Amino acid sequence: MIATAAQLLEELQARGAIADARTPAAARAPRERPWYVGLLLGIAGWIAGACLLLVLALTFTSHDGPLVLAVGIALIVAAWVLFRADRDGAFVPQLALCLSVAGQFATLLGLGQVAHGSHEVAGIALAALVLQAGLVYAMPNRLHRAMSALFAAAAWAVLVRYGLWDRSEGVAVGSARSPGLAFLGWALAWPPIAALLYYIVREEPRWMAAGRAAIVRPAATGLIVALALATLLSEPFALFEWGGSATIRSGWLAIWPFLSVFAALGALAAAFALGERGLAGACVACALAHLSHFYYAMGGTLLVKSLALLALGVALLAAARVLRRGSAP
Amino acid sequence: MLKRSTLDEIVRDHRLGEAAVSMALDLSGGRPGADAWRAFAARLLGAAGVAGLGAGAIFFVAANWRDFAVLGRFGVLEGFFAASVAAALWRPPPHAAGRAALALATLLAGALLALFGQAYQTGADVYELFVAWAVLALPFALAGGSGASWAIWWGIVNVALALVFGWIGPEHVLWRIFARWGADRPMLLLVPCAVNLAAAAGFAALRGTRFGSHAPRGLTRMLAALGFLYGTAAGIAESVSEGASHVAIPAFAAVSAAVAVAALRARRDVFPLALVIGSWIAVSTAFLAHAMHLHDIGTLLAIAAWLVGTSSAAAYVLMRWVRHWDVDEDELPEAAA
Repeated sequence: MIATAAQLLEELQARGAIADARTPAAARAPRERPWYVGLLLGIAGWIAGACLLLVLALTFTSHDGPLVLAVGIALIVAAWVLFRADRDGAFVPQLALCLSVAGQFATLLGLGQVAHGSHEVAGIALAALVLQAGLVYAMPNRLHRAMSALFAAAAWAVLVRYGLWDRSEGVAVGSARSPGLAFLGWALAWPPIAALLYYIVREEPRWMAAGRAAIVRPAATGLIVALALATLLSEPFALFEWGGSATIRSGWLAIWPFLSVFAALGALAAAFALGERGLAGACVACALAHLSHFYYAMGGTLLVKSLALLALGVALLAAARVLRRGSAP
Repeated sequence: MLKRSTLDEIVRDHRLGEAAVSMALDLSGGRPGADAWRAFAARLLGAAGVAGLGAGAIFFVAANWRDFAVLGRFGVLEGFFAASVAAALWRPPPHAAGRAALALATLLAGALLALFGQAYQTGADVYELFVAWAVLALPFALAGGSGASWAIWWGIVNVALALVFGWIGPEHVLWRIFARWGADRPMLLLVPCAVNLAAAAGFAALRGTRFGSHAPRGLTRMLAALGFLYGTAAGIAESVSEGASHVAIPAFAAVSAAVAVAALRARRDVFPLALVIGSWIAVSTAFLAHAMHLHDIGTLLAIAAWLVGTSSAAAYVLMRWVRHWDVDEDELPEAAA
């Protein structure tokens, strides 16, 4: 297998795919940012954005909805200008990320204050979906695009939830009015995102050739993280209850964590297909967390659960052995 | 396999069409074929199967707690434990079955210790369980000979360290001993920091020797990250507490400087420098937030500006090193191989 860019270029030239195997100056351009530098910048940018948001909260009152909305939009526009002005720098993109985070929250807060409807959570989620989808396209920054794709998927799940079957009062309300509707909500929220990821994986050569990699690849990263983790947003019960009144919910509710396990495995397959090894590890961790959740939510005695786990372990090991035999030369 | 970012650059610079991109992806191993998918699924199913068997065995004993006598409880767990060890002897590492069996044996060793404590009411603390577990599991980590087996073992060790130096309070006998030496919480947190960093240095030294399979870069990075996590916690705890001894921050600064100098001289990996810089951004931000009390717009803006400024400067210098050093970020963790 070819392991270096020079070898690949020579092979492509030998096969007539390119005329000249010499690497243009642009291909020797700055190396990609390692994941740990991106993580450091992302965390710092988010905390700085939260500080700016607190500044806005201290500056404006709940009656200043239109003003907050205007400030939010202005901050997003300012972030866009900064990203365009200095794409490869360090300080300016970081400042832009901070402004954008504060601007997005302020825009949604302002919208929430301006429009008090009977379905305000669904309405704000719809606005967030449109905003984030636009930012995936507009913001010329890989980290920002990945985060926007993640939040767009989360906004879509919240929109389906509060538009279809849950109440709008409060966040993470713990009651499912209709399990059937909740299940329909899950089916509406996540399979389309999985299908979109499948399409992205299948059409990778096409969008790479069309010069869309700078947009589609970070968007795929955000969607993979969403499919692995954000399915929690569609579960019809509160994950965390404050005040120490949490009770273990069991029985049919266990189906939701189980669905999340499958979603995380789908995300894992997409990460593997796109060569995102770090993301694949994160997907495995998410699948394990969902599986633990499933174990506690599942009804039945401890004996049944332990026997099910033992049977599952034997079956999985047998399946792995069959696959290894099949791949042996 | 070539990184996708490299492929993206080649596609952009040579204006490749769809057919040529497909060819480039296939030539560089960018698109997994049937064999790669099968191997990936086999590895995943194998790991999930081992985890399922381990958890099932432990829960089976818990489920039959009242029905089994003490001997029965031990018999079931020891039966699973013996079967795991036998499987590891039958297909010793580096065979995948042997490594999986040793991982299972490590889990079951902890379950046996917990059962011992429960059955005979030894009165042992939880940290003692984890210390004993780490001691008993050490041969399995050595026999496993892989980054994954050492990562599991260091995970157990770190739970023990966190319990001893981060969890127990002034009422505990160990705390009284520490207090007699004049140690407070921030100073105690430096102990697991030092242990993890020493381990990271030790494993890094093994690379390139015949024991190199024990020390993939992922393991040394994990240990270094854990060390800096404890060091950062110590620094933050000292910077926000009024009566602290003011030892932890200078000591952590000295350790950070030593790590930075070593990384700058070796010029092999930027990750330790990112840890040093990230830790000190966190400590300094906590100090500023505590000193300025965060009660008005000005202080919030100052914190935001500090974070943006320091993280931007960090990105600038880190990316300079990434570009100028011959760092291969694509090196695969041994566990995934």
